[in-house]
Amino acid sequence: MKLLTDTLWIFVRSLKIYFRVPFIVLMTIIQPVLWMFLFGEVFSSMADIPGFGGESYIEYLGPGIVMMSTMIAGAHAGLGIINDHREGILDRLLISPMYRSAIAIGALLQETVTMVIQALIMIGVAALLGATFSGGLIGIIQLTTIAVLLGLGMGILSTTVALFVLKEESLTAAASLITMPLIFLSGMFIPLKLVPNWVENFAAFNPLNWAVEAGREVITTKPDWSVVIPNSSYLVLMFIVSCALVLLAFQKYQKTL
Amino acid sequence: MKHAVEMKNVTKKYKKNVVALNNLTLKLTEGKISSLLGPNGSGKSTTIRMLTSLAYPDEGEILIFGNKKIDKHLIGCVSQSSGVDPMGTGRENLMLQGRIYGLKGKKLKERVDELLRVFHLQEDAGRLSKNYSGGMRRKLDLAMGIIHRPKLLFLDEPTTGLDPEARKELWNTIKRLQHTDGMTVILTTHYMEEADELSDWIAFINDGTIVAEGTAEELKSKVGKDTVTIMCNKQAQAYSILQASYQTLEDKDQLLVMVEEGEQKLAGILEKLRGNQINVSSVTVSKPDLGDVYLLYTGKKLSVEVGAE
Repeated sequence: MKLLTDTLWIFVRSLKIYFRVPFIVLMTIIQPVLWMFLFGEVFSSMADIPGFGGESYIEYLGPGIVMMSTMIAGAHAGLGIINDHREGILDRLLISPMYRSAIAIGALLQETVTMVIQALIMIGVAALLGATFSGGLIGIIQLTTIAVLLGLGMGILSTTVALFVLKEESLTAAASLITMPLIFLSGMFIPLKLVPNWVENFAAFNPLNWAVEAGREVITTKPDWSVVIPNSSYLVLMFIVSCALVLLAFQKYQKTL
Repeated sequence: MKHAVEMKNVTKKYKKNVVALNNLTLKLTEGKISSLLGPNGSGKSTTIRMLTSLAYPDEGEILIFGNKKIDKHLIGCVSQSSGVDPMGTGRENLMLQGRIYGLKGKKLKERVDELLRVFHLQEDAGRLSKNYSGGMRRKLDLAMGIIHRPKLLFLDEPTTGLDPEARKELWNTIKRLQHTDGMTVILTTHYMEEADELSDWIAFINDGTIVAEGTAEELKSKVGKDTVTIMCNKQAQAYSILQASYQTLEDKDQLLVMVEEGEQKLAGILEKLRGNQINVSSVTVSKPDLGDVYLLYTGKKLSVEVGAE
């Protein structure tokens, strides 16, 4: 019971902070919308390339941008804990009788809420630009779930890194360094059969690519589950591994105190 | 006499070779205000972090009110790095802190209102605390530290950065907490006058171990002598005259004469100088203070330490 209430209070606090900084809310939405619009327009003729598959480019790009937006949001999720460390809030919470896991779970719940909102906005924008989402509401729910799973996995990894570096600049640099290659070494912009072999090989280990592959399937009328299930399982595995890593990072953080 | 805190042979190392606490043993009495004093890096904050369960000892034993397992509801802490959420209002900060400690409903609201009133924060309760002054934030910090009425309160440099008026106000609050609520207070500070004003018991830490402890009076009496500071002409001649009878030091353009009962010896000192046609332009007698104790046991000048903060 105490774990639930502790988690609730941290969740409410995190949500309030998020919405009190409108700039961040705006940036986390505007950036992916711009990606969707600019890439969708500039590369619209990509769909005509032989071997692309014939569908419209926005149909192809849409799920990828949804995944990318939650991944980028997740990659920066650790900034919150660095701020809490700097302000002494993290230590105050650790001294208190609060469940330690509530500190992480409460913040993750807030990330989940904001990622769902973000994913739905992206889906809306993609639909406005011409994507059909033929799998209907169920497909959209599945797509959003996969996007949030990717975002949370990245979010926990970001928190892990944050607890090691404890500096905003370092985390931001690490986030950019990691997300940029993940974006380009995936099948997000172009089918993997059209890119060099090494990119395709790398993409097999790329969480963004797992999410994109699975996401593209679930929004169709007949998803290929042999693609969805393994890729989603990798994401679940990444989530579990990152949870274990963040616990170790908390222990390491406390050892340095 | 019951002990709120007992540390027995506690050692803490960071990485491999940095020894933060070195076989430290300390007992602090329940219901008193005790101060931990020492230079930067002496181990004060590490001690507080361990007593508040934020860090763990590598060796040794820590007992809080006789128990090895720290009951977190019994302790409150106002740490150096604040802990106030700048993106929350004063009231929200207090409400969250109260909820974490299990307060709820009407009781929580009443306690929050009481603390806002006591700390004169009512008018600003709805403002984000990032817009508070340093003094207001420190008051909010203290209010958050005591919202659950802890039996043992840790204050890690609570008045650093405060103006003299805000500092005095905080001192009064700390004394009130001890007198009326019977709270045990453990304080770290760089300000000797703060330790002198507030503490029933003082422990000096240096290089991770306790080097001296006692009441302020006991510690000052260990320094012993008063200092007679003299400015005069013919300083070199005056120095050799005084040195023959007293322990004397030359410090730039003044002479420092260490004597017991300085006020009584003053007439004799001046007589010796006048008898040699030396004109004294100023003379002061100072009793030993905690700064002298600090210097004696840490070997570091206080002015440098405070200036470094």
